[in-house]
Order: sequence, then C-alpha cells, then structure tokens
Amino acid sequence: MEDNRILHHPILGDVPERKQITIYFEGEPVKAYEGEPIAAALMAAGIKAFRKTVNLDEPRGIFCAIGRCTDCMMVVNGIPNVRTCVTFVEDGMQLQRQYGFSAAKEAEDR
Amino acid sequence: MAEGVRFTGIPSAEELAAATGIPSEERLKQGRVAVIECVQEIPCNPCESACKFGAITVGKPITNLPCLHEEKCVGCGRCVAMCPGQAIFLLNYNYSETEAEVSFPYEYLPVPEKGDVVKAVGRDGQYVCDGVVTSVVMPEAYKNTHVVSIAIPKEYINTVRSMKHSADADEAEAPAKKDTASRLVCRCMEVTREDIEAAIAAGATTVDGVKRMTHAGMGLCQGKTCERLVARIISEKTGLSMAEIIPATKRAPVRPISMGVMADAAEQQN
Repeated sequence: MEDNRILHHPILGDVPERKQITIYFEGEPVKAYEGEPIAAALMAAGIKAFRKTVNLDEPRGIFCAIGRCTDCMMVVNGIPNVRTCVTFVEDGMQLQRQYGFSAAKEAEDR
Repeated sequence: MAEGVRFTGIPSAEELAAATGIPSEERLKQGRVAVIECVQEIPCNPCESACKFGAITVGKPITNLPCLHEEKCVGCGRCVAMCPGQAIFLLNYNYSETEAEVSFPYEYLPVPEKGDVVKAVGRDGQYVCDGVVTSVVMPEAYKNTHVVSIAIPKEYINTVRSMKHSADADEAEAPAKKDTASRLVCRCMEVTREDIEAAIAAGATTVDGVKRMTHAGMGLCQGKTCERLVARIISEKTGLSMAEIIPATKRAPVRPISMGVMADAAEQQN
C-alpha cells in the first residue's frame, strides 16, 4: 500500500512509535495510526478525493486543514459532514466519500 | 492587478522605497550590510533583539517598521534568520571585482552546498541569473533556518533575493491558471467570481447583499473562507474601502454540529 507519511522531518524529527489501527474507506482497509486525523491517514494512503460537490460534481479534499473550510467532509460511521482534518481516526472506522450531503451518489440524483 | 505585498505577496518598488530598513547607496558600497525589506506595519519585532549592535530598532508601538541604523550594522547576518517574515537579507557589494554576495534565509530541502551553481531568483521567485553558493550556515540561534549566500554579478544586487536549484529550474512551467472569472470564491456553494461580480453589478454593496443574491457564504463553513474574498471584490468594484463594507451577520453555530448536541443541551436546561 502507498505510504506518503513523512517519517523523518528536518525540523520536527522522527515520528514516535504509535499503535497501528485499521480504518475502512468505501469498505477497503486503510492503515492508520492512533492520533492521526482521518484526512492524514487517507492522504498517506494516496486517497485525495474525499467528496464530490453538489453542482459541479468536482472532487474535493484537504483545503484549509484546520477545520474551517469544510472542504474535507466525509460520511464517517454513517454521519455526514464530518470534518476529517480535525477528527481523529478510530479502529474500525467506516468512511464513505460524500456526494453533496450524503454517502450515496444516487440519493442526490433522486 | 494591483501591486504590493497585500495583493501579490511581493513588495512593490513603491513599498520598498517607503521602507525604513534599506541602507543608502553609500553604505551599500562600503560592504556587508543588512537590508530589511519589511513593508507592512504588523506587530513584530524579533529583528530588534536579534541585533546585538543596536542597528535595528522597532520601538513603540510594535507595529512600527524596523529602522536600520546603517552606521551600526556590521553585517553579521544574525537578523536574516531571525526574521519570521524572511524579509531581511545581507548584501555584500564588495565580494569581488565583478560579483556581489547576497545572503537569504532558506528553508527548503535539499540544502545547497558551497560551490553549487544555482539559479538566482528575484523577490517574485523568477530566474534572474546564475549564482554560486559561497556559504551555507545554520548556527544554533538560527532555529533550523539555513542562511545561504550566493555570489552573483554586481548589477543584480538589488534584484536577487533567493535561489532555486538548477534542477528545479528545468521543471516544466506551471500550467496556465484558469481565468479569474470562473474561479470559485465560495467553495461550499460553488459560487464563482463572475457570479459575485454580477450581484455587485445588480446593486449589492454589502457582504450580506451578495450572500442573498448568490448564496455565497451560506454553506457549511458559514462564509469563513469566502467572506473576505467577497468583501475584497466589492471593494474593487465599488471603490469602497474594506473598512466601509458591512460584514455578514454572524450566527451560531459557528461549526457544523449535530442537532443532537443542541437537543441534549435543551433537555439539560429543562
């Protein structure tokens, strides 16, 4: 699996030991570490499109990364509009790409 | 497009002319000296305490622009890495017969090495000329910021302010930016600059006015991202100053929360 984590940072130093857990993106297992925001774990796995917009159907992912812009919202454990850049991962967490305001593309089309 | 730090992130010639930290032509030709290209009156003064020779003063109020006392500057370069805005450089006009030396803060990897031939760039990051790295230092006090010095032809002493690695310069040019009209201003509701301008043309002169006509600012982020952009566009189109533009009304909740949170709070109160 792709792993884009920065393990040796020139200023922050090495990443400390952390417990590895598993989260699920659209049903597929993704490696994550305790203490990581959801968005960080997904970016590390190479997943960048967290949602699709209502009108233009364009992909969105991390924009502000500090919980202000709400661009990184996903459906987390069935709850939509969760800001993944400021929500920590939990073992077994189920993540779905958000279409408009729900997890299913069809729901928007109805 | 308007020039200056506020609009482009690059100080304009006018702003630099008004700065109080630029050494005189005479001092420049005497050798190593700091040049403080600080043009925004922000509350910041680490440069003042960085200088052990009293050559930089900010004083009170802290928003003053730093003042360079060029006769006291020995060209040690301590201030270069201490400026959080990376606005201070060290110039040595007399590096050699034909070359001057420019020192600047550098926080990218890979760190260049002495002797490297690099692309010297201006304040806008654009290529100016080739340069040769003459020193790379990072003393303890510099807090992980390298100070790189490069030798360049004397004529570019007031132009060159940083560098790129030669390999970087070979990279393909960035793709052309989309035209500004179709650029999104409100990311939540997908409102473009064109939409905002149409609302202003139709008479909207406040952030709330634009909001009612375009829905810009009515998304989940509550206008946190677009409000200032909308205000800026109103300012550009109407000539009103930013201070005169009435901001959008703020209402709770300021962050997306579940309805249950408020229901629970209501139950607890009863």
